[in-house]
Amino acid sequence: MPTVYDAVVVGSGAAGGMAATELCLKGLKVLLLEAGPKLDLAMDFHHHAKPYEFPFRGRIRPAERAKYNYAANEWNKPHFINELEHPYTGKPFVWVRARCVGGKTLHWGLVSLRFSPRDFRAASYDGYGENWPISYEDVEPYYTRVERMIGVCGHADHLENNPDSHFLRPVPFTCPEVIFKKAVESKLPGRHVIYGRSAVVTEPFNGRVPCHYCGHCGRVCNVGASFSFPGALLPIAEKTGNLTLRPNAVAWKVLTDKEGKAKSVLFVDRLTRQPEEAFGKVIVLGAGALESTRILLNSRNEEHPAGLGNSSGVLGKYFCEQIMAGDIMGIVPSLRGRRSFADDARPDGTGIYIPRFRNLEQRHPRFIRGYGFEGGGGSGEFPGFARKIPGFGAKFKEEVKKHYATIMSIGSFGEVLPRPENYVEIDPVVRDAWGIPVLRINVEWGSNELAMAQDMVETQREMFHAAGIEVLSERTRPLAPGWSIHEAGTARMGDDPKKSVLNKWNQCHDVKNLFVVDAACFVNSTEKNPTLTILTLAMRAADYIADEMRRGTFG
Amino acid sequence: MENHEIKPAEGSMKRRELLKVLGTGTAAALVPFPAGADPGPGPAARVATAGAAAETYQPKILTAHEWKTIRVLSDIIIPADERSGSATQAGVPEFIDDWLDFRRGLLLDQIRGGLTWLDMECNRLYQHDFVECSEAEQKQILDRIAFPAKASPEDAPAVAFFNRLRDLVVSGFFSSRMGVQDLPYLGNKMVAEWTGCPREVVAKIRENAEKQVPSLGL
Repeated sequence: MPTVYDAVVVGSGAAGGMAATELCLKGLKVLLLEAGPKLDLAMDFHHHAKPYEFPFRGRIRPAERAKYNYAANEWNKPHFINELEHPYTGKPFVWVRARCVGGKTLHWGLVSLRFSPRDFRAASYDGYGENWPISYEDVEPYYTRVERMIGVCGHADHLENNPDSHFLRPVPFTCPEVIFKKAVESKLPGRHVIYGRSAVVTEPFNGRVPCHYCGHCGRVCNVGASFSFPGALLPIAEKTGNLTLRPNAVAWKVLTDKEGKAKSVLFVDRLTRQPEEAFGKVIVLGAGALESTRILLNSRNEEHPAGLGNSSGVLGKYFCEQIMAGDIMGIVPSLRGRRSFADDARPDGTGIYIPRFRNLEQRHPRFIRGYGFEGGGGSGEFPGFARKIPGFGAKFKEEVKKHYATIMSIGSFGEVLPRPENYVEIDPVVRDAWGIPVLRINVEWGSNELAMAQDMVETQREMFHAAGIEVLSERTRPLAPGWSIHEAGTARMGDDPKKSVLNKWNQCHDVKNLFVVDAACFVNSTEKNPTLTILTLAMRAADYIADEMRRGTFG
Repeated sequence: MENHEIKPAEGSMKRRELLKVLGTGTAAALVPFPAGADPGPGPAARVATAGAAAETYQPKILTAHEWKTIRVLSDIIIPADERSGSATQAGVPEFIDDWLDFRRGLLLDQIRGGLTWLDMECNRLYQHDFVECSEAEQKQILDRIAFPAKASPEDAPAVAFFNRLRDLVVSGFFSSRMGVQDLPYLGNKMVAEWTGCPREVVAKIRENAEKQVPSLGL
């Protein structure tokens, strides 16, 4: 007889990693399947290395370039998939995938923002789409627990649409940010410039060592001060004795028994390429929104011809994410000539945040929902602005250095509406290197996104102008869909099984012992970075699973 | 595979670079080479010994004449000063050659075309190639194309070429050991406590907030 675990969890990023940890803490025996290898945070990456220490100054070397997505570099590349082995088809879309224990938690941007009461009821405000089946009040206790578990630094600003977290002390502003904040808040009422809220521990926390301020958290933190599954949660899960971690297990599909219950996950061993089966009383998918949806679609069988859990026909639809419409960079003139400072040593996700200001009090005439800006200023690793300085020679060289500490830049994330036309499906022909059918991704910006994008560009200029910043460069066209790496919504939750894949506990309406705990469950994306909410909903779902398990619901 | 064709819009920041910007507020993160161009190379070992290696370096893609011109141009763009050496001393021409060899395509064409234009124009005006020009002649022609806002519309392609070349020189220089020390770049190493904008600067910002002060002079 094969081992039957209480729960088989697929994916060890924010969603699967948190679900597995919480289930272990609740006493369940958990098998955690991860498609990639287990990496050593301290040994398998380059830390504190300068660009000139790499043959290609930190960029992916030419011979390997086709293998990697845009987010990979010589510092962090071991945890990214080989794109050539993992194709996808459809309309232009950037799909950044990390396969290793911890997934994208190893390099994420760390920005940690609670969704607001309004976010869960967005449809009630503007009539578009559906409300979530859960309210902020339902989720709040879990936000609190997650923050106390992972550590989030920031400052309580008492803003209605950006609820405060339980913060560790914030990371101070740089000089350009002090100037920017003062100008924007005094000249543009309704705009707030607040401390970035970031999942990095700025003081000793739950046995983790605090940040040592080398910056570049996205190159992987060697001490686990920035939140990652292996750095922050895996030790907790392992300590329970309830976790079995199975790396190199590429999940293919969920298999069901004759009663229609989920019984196992079929996976391919990445190294031997042999198929294996992992049995669980409960199956929990937390592989990332699109991967989890792909697994469900690939799990179609006679009883579920359109994909497992897809009696509604909604699976794969209502994709949503965030549009990155603009970014702007310029010089703070009053800082000209100032000496450089270790501004770049600050952790990711800190700096400034400009919370959403559109469609809160007044309705914007051209679009619904909103966007926020993230940004910062100071001396960076590389004076990228230098290419915008005219001239040549001694004066040019001096100008570059004179402006090195004056740079300020911001960029925006805007809500992409969950529309049924934006959907993913299984490509009928193409398969990946493991023989698994791949996704065809059909996503395009709609008129709301494009109108919002135009506004983002206008307001970023407006703020720079208010602060007296001389604009050196700005991008005015949106990046390609997918670029935000905030994909969500393809197995959304809801009370009505005809209009949603999951119920409010992330439980599949059609298959009661099957759960999807990542951003696939999102009803809408909001303008806020999703990871804190992914962690929170995964923990909440895991709690529910543990309670139901105790009641004997899953046999 | 179609999905790999996606490139960011011209001049756009890559997201991870953007996140760095967002996180640490810098114009760019890991040596952000200009859109359309790509990193190029410049092996560390060679950079370290650039001065000596320059004599024996065999260009990979540039012709002997192009190589010579690139070396001259690199040092005109970034000459030595009291704090650091010149672009050639930092190994920038090798870096550019490597980079062009790897990228080829439009970038190489643009640089090559620009170098040809430069020589043709110098021959028309001064009856010899750019590298044979006097310093004054070199300055005169570069003044025409190095200031985009002031350049004449007919020189637009040459201005675009020079922008690209300056990108390459800047990218190579400020990602080299010499350039990093020159700035000086102080991050990416352990810092005991990160304190942000120094108190005296914050005070000065407050003090100056209401006045129009051109420079804090710090």
